[in-house]
Amino acid sequence: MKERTGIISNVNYKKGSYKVIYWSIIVLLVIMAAICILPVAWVLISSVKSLDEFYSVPPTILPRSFHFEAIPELFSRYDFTKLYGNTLLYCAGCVLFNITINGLMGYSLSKMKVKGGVVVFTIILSTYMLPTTVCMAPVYKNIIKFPIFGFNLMNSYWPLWMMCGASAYNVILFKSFFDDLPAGLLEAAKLDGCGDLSVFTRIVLPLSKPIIATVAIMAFSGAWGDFFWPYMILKDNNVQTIMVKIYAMQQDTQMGINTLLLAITFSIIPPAILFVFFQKHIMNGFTMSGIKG
Amino acid sequence: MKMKIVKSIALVLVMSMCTCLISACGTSKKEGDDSKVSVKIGYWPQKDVSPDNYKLYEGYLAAMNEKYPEIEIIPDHYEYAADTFLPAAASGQIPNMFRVPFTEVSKIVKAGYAADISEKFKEFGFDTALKDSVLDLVTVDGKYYGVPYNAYIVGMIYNVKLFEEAGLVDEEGKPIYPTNFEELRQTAITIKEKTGKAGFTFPTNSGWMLMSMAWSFGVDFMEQIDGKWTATFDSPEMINLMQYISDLKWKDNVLPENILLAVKDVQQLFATDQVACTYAPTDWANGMISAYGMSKDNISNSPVPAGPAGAYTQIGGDIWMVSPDTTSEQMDAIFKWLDIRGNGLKLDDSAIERQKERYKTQYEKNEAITNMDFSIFKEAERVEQIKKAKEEYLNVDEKRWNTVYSDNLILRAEEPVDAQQLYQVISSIVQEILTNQNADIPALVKQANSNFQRDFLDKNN
Amino acid sequence: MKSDVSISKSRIGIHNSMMSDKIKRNITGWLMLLPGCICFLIFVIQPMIVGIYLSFFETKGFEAVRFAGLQNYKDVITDSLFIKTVWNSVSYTFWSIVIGGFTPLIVAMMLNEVVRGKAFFRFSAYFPCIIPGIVTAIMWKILFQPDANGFLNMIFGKLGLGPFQWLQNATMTIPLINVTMAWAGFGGTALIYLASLQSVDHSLYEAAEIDGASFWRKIWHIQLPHVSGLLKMLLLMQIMGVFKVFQQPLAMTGGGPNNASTSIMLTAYNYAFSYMQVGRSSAVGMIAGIILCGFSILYFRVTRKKDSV
Repeated sequence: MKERTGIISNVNYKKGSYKVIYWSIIVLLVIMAAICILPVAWVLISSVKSLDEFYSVPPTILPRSFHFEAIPELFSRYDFTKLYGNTLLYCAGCVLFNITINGLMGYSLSKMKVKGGVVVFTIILSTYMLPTTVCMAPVYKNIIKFPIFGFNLMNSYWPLWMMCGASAYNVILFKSFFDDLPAGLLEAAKLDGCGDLSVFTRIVLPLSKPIIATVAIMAFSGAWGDFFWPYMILKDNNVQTIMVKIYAMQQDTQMGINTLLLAITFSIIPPAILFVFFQKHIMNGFTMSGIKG
Repeated sequence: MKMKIVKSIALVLVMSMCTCLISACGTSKKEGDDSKVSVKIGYWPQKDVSPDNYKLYEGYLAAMNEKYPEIEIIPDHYEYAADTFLPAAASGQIPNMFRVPFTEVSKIVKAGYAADISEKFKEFGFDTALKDSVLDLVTVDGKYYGVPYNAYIVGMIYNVKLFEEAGLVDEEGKPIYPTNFEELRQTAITIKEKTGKAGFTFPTNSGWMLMSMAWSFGVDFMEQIDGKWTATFDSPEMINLMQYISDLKWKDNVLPENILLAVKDVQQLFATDQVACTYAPTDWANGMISAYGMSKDNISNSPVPAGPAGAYTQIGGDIWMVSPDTTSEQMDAIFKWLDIRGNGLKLDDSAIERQKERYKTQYEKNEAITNMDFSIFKEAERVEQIKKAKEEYLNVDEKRWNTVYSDNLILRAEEPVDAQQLYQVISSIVQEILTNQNADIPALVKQANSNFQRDFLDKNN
Repeated sequence: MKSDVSISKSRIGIHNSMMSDKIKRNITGWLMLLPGCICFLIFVIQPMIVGIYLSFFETKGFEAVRFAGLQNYKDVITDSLFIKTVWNSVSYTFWSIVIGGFTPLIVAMMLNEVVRGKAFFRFSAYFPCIIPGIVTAIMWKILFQPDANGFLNMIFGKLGLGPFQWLQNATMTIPLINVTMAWAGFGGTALIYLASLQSVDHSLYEAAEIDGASFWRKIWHIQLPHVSGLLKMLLLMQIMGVFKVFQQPLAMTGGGPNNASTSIMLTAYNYAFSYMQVGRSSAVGMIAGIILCGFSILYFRVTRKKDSV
């Protein structure tokens, strides 16, 4: 059996030219990894510097002074356990809404061919074109006074989650993914006697693992870093997420850049760990579910 | 069957959303009972973020409840932020009393989100007790829209360490201050030569810090002729000022490399001994002490240097404003609350005690307490009261801390119209001059003048 | 498992079953659309209509005061900076395609080939996406410090280059902001391409190899056609997304130096939030929307032509 992940198979690799290509790819990827990781690492390491060192000339690559006492200070000022908990809950909801609501929409628009579907899709596409700043305040008004029912949704995650459910980007993404699924595959399954639903659960869902995984990851990291609407809506300390706190800290002229970076470090560590742990599962999902001929 | 499952998925989603909407609605509290007048007071400190301030506010609250049991104070943590004010105000999320920087007052009034408080303002005597220049901060079209919480004027601050290093101190160890712009330039050059650090800077992203300098150079920005505003800063004075700034950068090289500087950046550079002197409102010093751990003994200050037209300084401050939906009973409660806080004209003994408490906290935090603050009141008795309350906490070295106020200083408030827009226009020219060595200054100024006329003065007024 | 549809198919005549099939399909389809439609309606569409409405009115705060016709549009178009900001936005879009348009696809293709260490490379490509937007802006601002203590100047200094002015150099500002945007976003897009590339039928490669196809020919004839649909879609979305950019310049340069990085949406943001002129802000937003519509029509024309060739 030939092993291959892409163009280059084991057999190809034995040829000299392919070996050169393969190793140049590896070199390029190592450079890419350095560009992606080193700047962040440098900034994070710098967060234990003193403010003086931060601005010193010539600058230090590795910190000279280590101010670890700043960490307990930061933790005594802000309840990070609660911040983490809130943020996780918020992110989980965002992932769920992104996948289910946008996924269903994408599937329906792509494969169900409902009457009016084209109109819906055109509208969604056009909302992606119009700038969102036009409607910020009307959105805010809807949150304070929910249409028809009149609830006030301040300090609740629901409006934020529902905004995730209205992600034109993800709908379009899902739709174009489903569009790429060969129609023949679904037709064949139908001829074999599968109903719409079993086509969906048996064929479409397993095939969509890559896109679901991708959207889930992106939704999670998007939600983790989201600050604007959470900042507008979550005013109560008990529901605030970590980015809301950081945004507030950044606005605060009374806070040194080193303290801010320390808080930032702790805001990045959890998702980073999460990805290190989960990446095997998530990323394996990609390979395993690739359509094999 | 497939229908059922899909249907039920959809149903569950919709239902769960609805229940959560309802539960969210259920948790919203009713505010106060009817017999009491309740007011929401913004800018309330958060317990976990600033415990000292929080304690102070608890003290105010206790005193308020004791003296006026019929008033219910509802703490609100709302803090003004330019980017979120409008949607927050439009949807009624602004507390009855909120605090804003002076630059925002006219904009908020124009947008209709502040109440005219003239009546109570006069009733509580603010209109006669405050200095005229301070009154200007809260007056729009002859009506009062806010109560000044504090006021500051722009002065100069100096980093003592760098001045010492450069040998710019007299026998007593007092930094030698520049008194005019040529001296300022020479001082900056000496600093740069001796220490390698930047001699001078100012925030290039917020144009209002430049106004003092511009007025001192004799720049007139606008004038009203027959009710029509005309931009008048396409003048030799403005060109001189810009040439001066350009020379600081390209001839003398005494400014920091980084020229896109916001207030926060300038403060951090100054506090970490990277720049020797800068224009600064009087309230900066304690901000830098508490935020960046700068020693108060490393700071020295003086009035702004004089230019060809004299020594002008801009007055600023933080203002309490009142939301437009506030009733007259609530308005009354707010002014009583201001009295309790010690912002009012009359200070009773307990109010003085609470002021002392505040100075004590500052003292313990090693912030600078001086008797040279700029007072917003012209009434001598009120000024004396505060001086006495401070007395035992004064902690600065008098040879380094000067009053930034001097007799020949001319105080000015913001330009009358489109000030925010003017700041942006000026920032743009300054940024261009500082990034482009060959910038054609007269052409830039001419262009800016006509653009400001066309884009703002003609359209907005 | 047999569903009711197939049962009904056998009972009723073929024509009728198709009819009822269609109706049921419509109902199911609409049920799938419903939750999304509610979200869109409340948080996007209704607010947008209100916003458009406001663009024709003189506003006080967020309230429409008086019908102003096209006055707001006239005011913003005659602004001396308007043309410059539109041009800046176009420039953002141009550079974003140059810098970030094809990078994700190339990275995905490279990732697709790696056998060992794939997990690490995928993780590192995605790593910047984990970094929240505010943090990215703060971080790159620090890295781009123009004085000698900036990280990048330090690195380049060791190579005997610089110091560079980075964001302060008016001609570099927009490309550099695009570099940070590409840095922050390419990993996510690369993963999308990767997911698509992994679904390429491997027997196609084998067949091509039998015909003696080279590495590059396999990319050209197998991979590119496979992702072309996705590529077109993602490029369009990138164009539309970047044309609306405003948070990055706001956070990194404030639109400076001398408005060299002020985008059209930053102007809209400033009208609304610095000057509280919502009517004008909405008008700018509308104009940007119209320009975008023009863009996408053009885009569809061009890509469709290519298809038919």
